[in-house]
Amino acid sequence: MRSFFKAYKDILVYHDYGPLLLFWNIADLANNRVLWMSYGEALDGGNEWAYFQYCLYFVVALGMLFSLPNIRSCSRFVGTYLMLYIFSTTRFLVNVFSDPEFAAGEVGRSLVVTGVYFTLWVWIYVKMRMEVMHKDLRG
Amino acid sequence: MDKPTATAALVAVVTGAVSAGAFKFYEFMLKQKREVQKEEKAEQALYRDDLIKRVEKLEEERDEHLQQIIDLMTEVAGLKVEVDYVKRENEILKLKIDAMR
Repeated sequence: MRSFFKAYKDILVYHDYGPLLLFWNIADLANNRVLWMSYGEALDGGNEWAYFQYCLYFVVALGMLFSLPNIRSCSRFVGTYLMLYIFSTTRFLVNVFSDPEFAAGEVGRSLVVTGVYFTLWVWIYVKMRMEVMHKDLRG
Repeated sequence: MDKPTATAALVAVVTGAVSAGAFKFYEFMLKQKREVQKEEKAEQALYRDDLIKRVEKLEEERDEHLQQIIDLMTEVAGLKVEVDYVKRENEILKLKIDAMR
């Protein structure tokens, strides 16, 4: 049982993030609402701020995709993406705790999914920064 | 800017700053560790170079001593032959003296 969990730990510590980041990035871009919704539609629904946020996500994800071969630049885009993620998650949490109507929805499910995605991005970011750091130290 | 947006922006900025600081600190620690390792390696290399020099010097001395031993053995062999020859001549002379008496 212990070796079973150790295998998972080894996957997290030693396996590379590159292919995961590439596919996740493409999926993220394809899933972005900017591609499937016009600004007019967002404006009609009163979601223009969310639309801008998705625009930012889209731009950062594109930057990530094109800077993937250059780990230093890519880590900056991943860092920006994480900041956006923290921003939107905190905004969501503040809304949940301050607005009872908002909290009535599928908050638990959203939080679990957000938590998993957040862990994923943090893992990728930490791995990238470590790689950059070790490259810098090696000179 | 409404309250949730301002709170979220503040949290994001603070988190970013704290994580950047944490990474800088970790980088500093790694650099320190690397410096210590480099110093240890340099000391080991110094010790190794000193050992190599000493071994080279000892090998040179050994070669010189071997050559001296070979020269001495040659001289000893020559002297042995000479001593045998002198002994034999001495015996002959003794016999000649006995015959004259």
